[in-house]
Amino acid sequence: MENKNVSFEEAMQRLEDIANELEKEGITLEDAMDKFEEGVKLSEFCVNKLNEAEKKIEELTRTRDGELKVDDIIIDE
Amino acid sequence: MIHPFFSEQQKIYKVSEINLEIKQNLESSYFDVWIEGEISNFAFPNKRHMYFTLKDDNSVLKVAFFENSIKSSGFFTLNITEESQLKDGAHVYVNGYVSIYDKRSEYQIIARNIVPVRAGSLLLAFEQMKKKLESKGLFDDSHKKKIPVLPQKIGLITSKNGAVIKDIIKILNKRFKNYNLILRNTPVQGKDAAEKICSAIDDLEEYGTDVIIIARGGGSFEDLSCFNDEELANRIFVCNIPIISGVGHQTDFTICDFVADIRAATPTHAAEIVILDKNEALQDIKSINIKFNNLLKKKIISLKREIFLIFTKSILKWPRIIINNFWQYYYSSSEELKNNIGFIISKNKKSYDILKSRINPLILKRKIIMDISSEKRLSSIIGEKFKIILNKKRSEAGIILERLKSSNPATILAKGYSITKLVEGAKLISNIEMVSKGDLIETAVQNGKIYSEVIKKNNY
Repeated sequence: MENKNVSFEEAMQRLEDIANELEKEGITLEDAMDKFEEGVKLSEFCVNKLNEAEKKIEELTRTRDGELKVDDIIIDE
Repeated sequence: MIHPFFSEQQKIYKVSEINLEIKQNLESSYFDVWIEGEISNFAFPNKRHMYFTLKDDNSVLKVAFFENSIKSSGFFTLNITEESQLKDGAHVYVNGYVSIYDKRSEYQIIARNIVPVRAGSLLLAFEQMKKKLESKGLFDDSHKKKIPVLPQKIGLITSKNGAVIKDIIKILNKRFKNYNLILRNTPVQGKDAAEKICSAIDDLEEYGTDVIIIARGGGSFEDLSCFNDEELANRIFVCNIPIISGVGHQTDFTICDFVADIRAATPTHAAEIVILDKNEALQDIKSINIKFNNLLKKKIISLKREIFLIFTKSILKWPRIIINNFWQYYYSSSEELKNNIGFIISKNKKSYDILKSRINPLILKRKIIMDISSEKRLSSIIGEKFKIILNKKRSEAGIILERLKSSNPATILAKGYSITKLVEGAKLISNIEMVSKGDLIETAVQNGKIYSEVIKKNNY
């Protein structure tokens, strides 16, 4: 789960799995602490993912040379 | 009585009889027919029933289209443009049955459905295209790609100037404030629209967005026809990026809808599908965290209870017994020491008595003082030694305590340690002197007790 390529969906799924594992009766304290720690890390990861991007509305066009380019645009809302 | 003019077999009808028979014959022979023609004398009184004459170059036919049939035919949901509407001069297909109005011996067509020829051919082409692509597997669920819930870049194919982009932005602002939308401005109506949408897909695929929305507002069937293009269908099918189709209104279906990975009912709906609601997601994470905390708290509370149980169990009296034993040893040893010192003193006293007569009392006194101080020193040295031993044992006991705290008591017995008691008096056996040959002893192991008799003992 340290992998940065984990998607938001996977992280959320893992969070729910952890919650289920923590609910199990026979879990040892060490295991529970590890899971808890992983859960806290994953939560941070998910929140960061949600806040990562910055609002941008852009337009994709092709230049005369056939190159793709993006420019910010303003759309009256 | 039959008139002699006729033969015996000649059947003679009354007017109403023949009319009824003709009506029955005609109605059963022309129960479900399609007729192509041009509308004239169109009338739609009170917007309820339609009456008109259907004609071609040589002939005319009366048609009635009643309110119930108009509603059930779905005519008004067909969404056809003005030039295809039912009116004089319109070229239509009429489906219905022949009926006779026998009071006037007039026959007419009672229409079930009317389709303008222009829209009709489009519809037909649409149905054929749909069947063809369906049989090629373009609509199969197995080919549908999953839409990411949190796309970093959202590609949008629509017209920059339409209302659609505004609607989409409005929804995105509401659901997820920090989104990144990449518009590929594309005409979504007209002759070249399908081709242009294809190249818009090319561009967004090359640029690399996480998802693509193809969107267009409502329009007539003809307006939306570019979304029924075969090339476009194939392009959408091979696109590596998941595509959401949000074309027209809820009631409009296009080929683009069928082949896309998700069909949204409207462009607004597409914006709702494309990204999760940020506040909802944050709330979800929060409640999972609360759950984590509660579960861990619960776990700790139950462990505390277990530890408490460990302390109350007899096995934990163990270290205290060790300490007590050392105290006892310490006291009895110092008692012994005292006695010995008394003996030494009394021995010295004897010598003193003997030597008293011979030795200077002052010198003797000094010697006694010296003896007394050496006794004190000795006892303090012994005391220190015992303190050191005691501290060592205390810390050993502390270590044992710690170890017991950090591990489950059951595992100590499970590790192979056992507790042995005298059956009589239930005293823990901590010293070899406590038992004698023939004593009955009880040994507790993890899952039971063993009773034995002492047959031999060896002192270390």
